Amino acid sequence: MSVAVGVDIGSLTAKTVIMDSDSHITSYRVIQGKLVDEAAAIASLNQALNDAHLAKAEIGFLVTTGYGRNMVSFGDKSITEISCHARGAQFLFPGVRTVIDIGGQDSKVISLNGEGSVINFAMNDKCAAGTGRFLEVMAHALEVSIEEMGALSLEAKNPATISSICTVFAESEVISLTAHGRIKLDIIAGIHEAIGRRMHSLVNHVGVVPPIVMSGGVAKNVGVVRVLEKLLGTEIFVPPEPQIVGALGAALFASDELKGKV
Amino acid sequence: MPRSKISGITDKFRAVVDEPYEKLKQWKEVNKKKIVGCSPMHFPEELIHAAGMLPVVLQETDETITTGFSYIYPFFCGITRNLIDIGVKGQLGFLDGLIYSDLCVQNRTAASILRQNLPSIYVEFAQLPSSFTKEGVMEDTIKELDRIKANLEKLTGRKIDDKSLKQSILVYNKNRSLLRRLHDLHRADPKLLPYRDMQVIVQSSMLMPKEEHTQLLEELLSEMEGMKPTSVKGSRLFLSGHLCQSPKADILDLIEGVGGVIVDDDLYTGYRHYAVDVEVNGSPIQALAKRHLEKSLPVPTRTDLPIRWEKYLVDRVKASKAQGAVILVVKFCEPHLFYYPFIKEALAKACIPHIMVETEHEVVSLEGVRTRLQAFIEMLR
Repeated sequence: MSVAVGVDIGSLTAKTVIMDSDSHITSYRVIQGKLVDEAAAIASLNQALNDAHLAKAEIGFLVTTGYGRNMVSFGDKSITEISCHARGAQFLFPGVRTVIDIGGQDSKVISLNGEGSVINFAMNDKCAAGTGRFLEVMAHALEVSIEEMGALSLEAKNPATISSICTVFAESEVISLTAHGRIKLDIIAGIHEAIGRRMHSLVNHVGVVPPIVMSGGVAKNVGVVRVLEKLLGTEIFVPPEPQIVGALGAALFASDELKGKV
Repeated sequence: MPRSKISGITDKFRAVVDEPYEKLKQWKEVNKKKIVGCSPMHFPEELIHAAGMLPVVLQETDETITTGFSYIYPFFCGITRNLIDIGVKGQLGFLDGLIYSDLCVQNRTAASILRQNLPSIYVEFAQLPSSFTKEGVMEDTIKELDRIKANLEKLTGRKIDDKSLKQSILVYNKNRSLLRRLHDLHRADPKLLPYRDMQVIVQSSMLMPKEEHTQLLEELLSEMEGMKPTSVKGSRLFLSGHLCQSPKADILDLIEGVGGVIVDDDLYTGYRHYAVDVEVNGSPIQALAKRHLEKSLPVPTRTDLPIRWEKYLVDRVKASKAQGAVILVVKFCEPHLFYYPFIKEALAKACIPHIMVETEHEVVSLEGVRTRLQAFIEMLR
């Protein structure tokens, strides 16, 4: 059996998707790593292979993507996360027109033509504010786990205003709000609104065209998703495992190679 | 091997560009001639050449801005801040003259700061009309060029007569025509030279004595014209922007490294610099004025353009058969940023995909730029 593999080496996590010749996902793994971590990428690949009872020799074609796509020593081809997230989102939600991806250290908005081709994109290329790392710093400052932030924020009655878009200054603002007695729920909701406002501006660079799909680790935060839905005035579709959309797209490109479509 | 000969010649050009001001100091010590620096874009170097001096176009260096921070706002563009910084640190003290011209507010400020800080140097501000077509601009241009001509004569102690000015125009026209030949060769076969080398060749033409540059360029062209064309694989791109400075080589390497093939450009250190010659018949001062007014290519540092810049760009991109355009914008370049929305709209209307990349004097996150450029190329395929 010759399988198509996509490995997404992000700034905080490594993801692998293995796909069979019928374009079915055989297995996938998400591994938390260090900054652009080849060891985590290899671990995610090995674990996904184990899950599918496959040997390395059965990899027919492997596409790498993500921030570390060119930094790892394996892979037959590298494709940007922009193309891969678009491809993965189109596979999961055919006809998608906009993909919002917020990963560990970057965020992007991708515009598609409705048939899966990228027609425009915008990316935060200078600052990691409003990304997964931003949420991690805020969770640490508030002494809550990042996983519980989304649900907690939905209970907020009076969201605080976080005016700064800089991670460092926003952290100071959060500490200051805590010192002034604001409750955690409201501060967390304020943090999500700050991320939402920043993403709203990036979305406007390419235009809001539904249906919109959100991918990346931050899509797991229901608080951020709700804020964005409110700001954009439309429903956002989130796949069951939003972190693997890039790796899935990479696996689909690998599958094309195996089928001789390239 | 022709390739190694070509590399040998481009290395000579690069040696000048890598350390522009050190090389000029050395040149001055050997040749005992005066050197006049010009701010980029509008001032006709021929006038300085005819006065028996070496005109050079000031180039941005990689130096970290330190002392200059005390003299200028951080929201001024990189080349302006860099030139002020190296100026106040004394690195431009070897110049005998410095001519700034009216491109933008930042350039005007730079001229004032350098005038105050370089008291032993003749610092001129050329108020050449920014309008192409307003009534009286020809007379005003000639008057201003005559005024500066008289000042240059005082500086050098030598009369600039029509004969010497015409001779200088011929020297410059010849160099421009050779650069156009190089441009045509590269357009026909973009893999002949990496674009960083194309930039180095044009930049060195702004720093070396023209006669010396022309001789080296002739050697280069005779080698290149004998070469077999290479097959071009990749996405054809048109490069525009950087109104008065060269893009950093890293960015050009990134574009080519991710599969882009630069087939034509509208850069100052590119086609814009050598596209148009000066007429050789009639009054040479009038001919210089005509080049400034009637023959200049559209650019956003000028007003009353005979053709809108965005229209000109769309036509050039179409003629180059490029699949997309890369617009390089220097951070805080007001004229360019003012125009960008028009360019964006015109390119979209003409169905020409483009990507805008903002560059800075300070280090830009190249990995982010790489991802954007690679994704743009993937989008074009």
